[in-house]
Amino acid sequence: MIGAVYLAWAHIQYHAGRSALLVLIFAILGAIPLMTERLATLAEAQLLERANSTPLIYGPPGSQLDLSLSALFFEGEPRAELSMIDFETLADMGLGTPLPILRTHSARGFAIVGIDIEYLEFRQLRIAEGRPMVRLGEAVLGADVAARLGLGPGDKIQSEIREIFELAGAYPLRMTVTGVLDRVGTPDDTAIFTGLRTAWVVAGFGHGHENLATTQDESVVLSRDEGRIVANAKLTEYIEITEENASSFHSHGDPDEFPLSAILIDPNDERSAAILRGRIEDAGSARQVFRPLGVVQELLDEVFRIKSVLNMLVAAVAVATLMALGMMIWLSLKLRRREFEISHQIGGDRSAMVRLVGAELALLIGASAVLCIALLMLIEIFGADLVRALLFGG
Amino acid sequence: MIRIERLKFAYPRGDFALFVPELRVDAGETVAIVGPSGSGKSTLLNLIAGVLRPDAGRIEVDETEVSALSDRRSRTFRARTIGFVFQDFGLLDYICARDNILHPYRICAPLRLTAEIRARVDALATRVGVSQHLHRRPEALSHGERQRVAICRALLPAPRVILADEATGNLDPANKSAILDLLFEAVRTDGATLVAVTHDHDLLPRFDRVVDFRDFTGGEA
Repeated sequence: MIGAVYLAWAHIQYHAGRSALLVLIFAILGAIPLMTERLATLAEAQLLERANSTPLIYGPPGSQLDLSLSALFFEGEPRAELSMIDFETLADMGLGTPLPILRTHSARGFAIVGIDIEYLEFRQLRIAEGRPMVRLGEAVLGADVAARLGLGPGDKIQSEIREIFELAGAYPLRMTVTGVLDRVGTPDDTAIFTGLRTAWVVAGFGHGHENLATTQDESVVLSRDEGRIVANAKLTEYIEITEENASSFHSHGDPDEFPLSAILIDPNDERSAAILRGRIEDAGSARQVFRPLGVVQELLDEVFRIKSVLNMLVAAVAVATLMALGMMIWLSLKLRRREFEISHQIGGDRSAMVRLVGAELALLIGASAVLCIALLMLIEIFGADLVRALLFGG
Repeated sequence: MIRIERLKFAYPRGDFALFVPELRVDAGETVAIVGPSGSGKSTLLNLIAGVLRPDAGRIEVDETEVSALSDRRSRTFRARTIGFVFQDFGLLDYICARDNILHPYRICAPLRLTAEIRARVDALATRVGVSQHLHRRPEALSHGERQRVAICRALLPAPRVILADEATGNLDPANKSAILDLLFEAVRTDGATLVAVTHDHDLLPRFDRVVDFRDFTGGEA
């Protein structure tokens, strides 16, 4: 057997390029199904973990999937169809802790998420560097945002207007980064968190400018009427909130009407959750409350149905590739026919030829298996981060 | 040494038929076999070696009835008793000359690869003039050098019979003579018997005997 292995190894070395190609093909054929299975399992775990850690989502009627994607993963079209009245209603029920979320704008490609400070505690988000946002105009960055933008406490980040002509009249707001969160491997790593008041300013529900009552520049005043001063378009709004101008920031609407995108609810217990859901449902169809776990599970079921089709396609490709490899090996054996004839003529064992070809295949498959295991180990090491990046854009 | 009696052989799907009424080759004798292409000269070598099994008749080599051996015993017999030299050298292109010489010891179970055998490779290589090429692959050798390596491989197990199938067919005149010298030397020094198929009539005078295959082919088959 040693002789067969020696000759097989020599043959592999002589045809190094072809052998390397075979090893690569065998390894990829073996690794792809296992890697996709592992990545799918990791993705499923991460999605379900996020959904599972959020007992209830409260929001406007419509797609529960869209609402879940927006409230849990900060993905999808930003909407703000709830208002602070919803939050107060939920708070008054006393059945759990409502956690408001407002997501309307982004900054340098990352979602700006307006929250109450309780959100950080609820998601067990800890400040790795700096301090939480406290004052108007302050923001805390998720770990991936900070890493990818190279920002830290003391730096500035400016919101982007969504459209050139924003009806809400939102101006870009340059926010001060006060802290960076610990990496947690969830969509929170890719968000820019601000207080709700800052998020409203970003959304155009608050602004700051010079005091029209005391201004020396009359050219910015359109009209003065019984103490009501109307400014014209020349009035410059502040795009950064500083200690000097913070007091000038205000809003003109009813604070109860200020928008929210969704409200996460951390119910006191299962019974409270059931009562809360009953009350919301009894109130008619104006609002909905649901468990995101079921919604995400349904999404995953769809994804896995598609994956099973993909698996079949991969299997078909694998069969075709193996047939091509079989043909390649058969042709290779035909090319070696003279070698086998010579071996037969000089008294070589019939089994020696089988051992020789078998040893070569075993060495190639063995090397492929090692490569396959190495790829799977890479997936074990980096798979979770890769899935996170794919799912949450980290 | 070699006794053939009333040998008949035909390939299953061929119109070729071989009939050898009688052929005897004594130990230490050198015999050249000549005849037209396709007359069965190479087939006869394969029958003597037990590679092919006759349809009828008897082949005895070194007091062993080759035609009666099982496949496994036939291979063992071949590995120990026969040294084959081919026109195309029959060397493996993916191993060096030394490994080619040792090749039978890696594929024939009855042959044991010992330190003595390894030492014998060096002695043989020196004898045939390829000792400086042992680390090279066949593609790096001239035709003459390749055939020398092939002769080393054939002689390594110290065979009782050397079967040379057009061993000089691919060589220039100088190398033809040199290769034949080596084969005759093996006969002299090792006491082997040489049966060589050849088309080269210039070489025939050097053999003890010449057998013309036109006397055998197409007989009673």
